[in-house]
Amino acid sequence: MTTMSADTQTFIEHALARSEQLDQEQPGCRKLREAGRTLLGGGLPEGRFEQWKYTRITPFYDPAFAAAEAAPASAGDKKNLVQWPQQRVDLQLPDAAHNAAPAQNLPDGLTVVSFNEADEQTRPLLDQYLNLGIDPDRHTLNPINMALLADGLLVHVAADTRIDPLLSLTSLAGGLPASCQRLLLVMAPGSRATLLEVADHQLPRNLVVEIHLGRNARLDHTRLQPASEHNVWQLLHCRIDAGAQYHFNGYAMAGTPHRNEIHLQFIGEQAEAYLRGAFMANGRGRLDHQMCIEHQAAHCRSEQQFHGIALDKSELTFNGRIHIHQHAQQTDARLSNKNLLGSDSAKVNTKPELEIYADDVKCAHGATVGQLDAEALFYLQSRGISTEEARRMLLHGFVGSVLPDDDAFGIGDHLNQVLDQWLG
Amino acid sequence: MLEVKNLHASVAGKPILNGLNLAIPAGEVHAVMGPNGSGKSTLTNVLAGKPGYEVTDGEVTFNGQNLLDLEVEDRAHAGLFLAFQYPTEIPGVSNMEFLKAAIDSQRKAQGEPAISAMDFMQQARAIAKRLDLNPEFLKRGVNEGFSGGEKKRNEILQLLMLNPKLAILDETDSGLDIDALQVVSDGVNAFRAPDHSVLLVTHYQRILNYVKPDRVHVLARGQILRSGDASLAQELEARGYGWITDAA
Ligand SMILES: Nc1ncnc2c1ncn2[C@@H]1O[C@H](COP(=O)(O)OP(=O)(O)OP(=O)(O)O)[C@@H](O)[C@H]1O
Ligand SMILES: [Mg+2]
Repeated sequence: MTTMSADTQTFIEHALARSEQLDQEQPGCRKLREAGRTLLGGGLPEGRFEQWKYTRITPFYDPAFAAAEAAPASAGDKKNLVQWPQQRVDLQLPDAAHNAAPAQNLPDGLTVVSFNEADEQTRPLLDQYLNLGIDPDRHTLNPINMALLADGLLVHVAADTRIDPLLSLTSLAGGLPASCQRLLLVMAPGSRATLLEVADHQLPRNLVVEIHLGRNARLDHTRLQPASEHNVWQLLHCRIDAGAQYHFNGYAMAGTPHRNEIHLQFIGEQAEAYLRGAFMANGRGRLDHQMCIEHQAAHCRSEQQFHGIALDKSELTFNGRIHIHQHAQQTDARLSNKNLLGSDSAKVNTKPELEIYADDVKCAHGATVGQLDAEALFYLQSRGISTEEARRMLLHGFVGSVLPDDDAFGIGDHLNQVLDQWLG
Repeated sequence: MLEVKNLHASVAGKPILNGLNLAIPAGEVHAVMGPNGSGKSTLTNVLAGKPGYEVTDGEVTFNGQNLLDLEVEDRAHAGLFLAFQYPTEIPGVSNMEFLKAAIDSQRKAQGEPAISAMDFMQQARAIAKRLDLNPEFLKRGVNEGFSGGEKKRNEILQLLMLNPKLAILDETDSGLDIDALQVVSDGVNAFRAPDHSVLLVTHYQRILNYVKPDRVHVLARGQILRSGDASLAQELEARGYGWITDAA
């Protein structure tokens, strides 16, 4: 590691001290923190380097993460960002200021426990899965999460069990100057569940979601990340075993800045992942999305379709990496990233990154950046629709074409409202 | 209804229309025929106000108004409708949402309130049925993945829903099977009325058997080189365009 600035060194010192303090207060995640401290002890990168080409990394070394103060938590109102179905299990991510809400009336086969409250039954799951397969060189901010995690949430779905109610995950704000949170979702072989994750990033956040899909498991995962004024870094790490299916629908709005890293690993054959989503930025918002799909097993399929809209002076970054390992023959990997620039001062950086070491694979990658389709605008206007309205409709349509199939949570309506507000 | 005088227009700096004259009185159907690349779509696009088409000379009056002064959407509000030769696909915008927005924008321009969702659905379903279009089409993205013939029928659906004064049909009959041609022709005939006019661009005499034109014009070299009654179309079918273009 080259020499670090004094600020970063101070951040690390404070983080290490706070981490040790947490060992006294919250002994539950000690092992993870120890591992985090070891990594942090090796230093943190600075400056611009390949994975942090468009976003400055140092603002994420926010001293607030290492602060010990913990004011009483605000009772987190569930914002009406989506339509919450009646049938659901409410999950709440704990942090230094919030306990995990005690899980009540859980359906058979669903276990929910905070890391700190794990018992003989659940502790082995933490030991086996926590941090499994996460590359510290690629996800440079994970060590901060590890070292400063006060508590996390473990969700386990038993083998061959289908959880019908929606798993609805929220994180509360308030009570802290910044918060590290972590979810570990382990889906045993043959299990099935639906997860809705609605973030409320009203403070700087470092969030890691780890998902382990056992053989033939299936998870439908929808994520809504509203705009916020804070630095948000989040990692979604998903390991997919043979025959399993992962369906992800993610909708993110920019922050100052937001950085999302998604890392999928196919570790068993015949597994499939379908990822779809939209990114929207306005004002001076920034959203940096780093996508990495690792095909480590043969006969798997991944399909990604992401649309980005950059308005005003905002900046979107999309890095789509597909890595097909030597043994991953007969892989079918597709990625499409389309972006619309809503103004001359908006910016989009989109880059494909293909690394293919197997010879018998199908791989398609397309990335575009453009203005609203002039032909489509003319078509709408020729029917009497005003320029403004036509523009609005086309933007809605652009987002509308990457919504979840049934859009049961009304995400489309929400995104349209946000867009209308942005367009003024 | 429509009067085009000495119209000159260029696209990408290239002159396409060179002094075109055409008058369509209310209640009449005029067919415009002509060789490929002669400027028929250019004429329809200029009339609809498509960006990129520059009018260098001449004038166009539409029901007493200077058409060329109007914005695209205002031309629609004034009662002009263009059925596109190649209707645009707009993924993510449903046909229904699009149609309702179009109707409401025109009602708004007329100072009328928005159409009720129920009236709209009833009308749309009835017209879709008449055009042999599965009502499921209303839910799909505008023209998204529609077959060529479906796109053309969707244009006629819009025509009948929007009920303009002047319908400009750019090769709406091209690429239609025999049954679809009948359905589309029925649609156009249903539109015909004493206060409605039609400018019908076509390559084929066939549709004129169903939609009887009052006048037939030949557009070539950026001008109307000859006009006549319905029999001119038959003559063109038999003799081609050479005898007209050569004489000019
Ligand atoms: N956007 C454009 N850029 C450059 N040239 C154009 C453009 N639009 C039309 N043209 C040219 O103008 C001429 C007339 O085209 P137009 O589409 O009006 O012909 P048309 O009579 O409708 O032909 P068709 O019967 O094939 O539909 C052609 O030479 C065409 O290539
Ligand atoms: Mg044409």
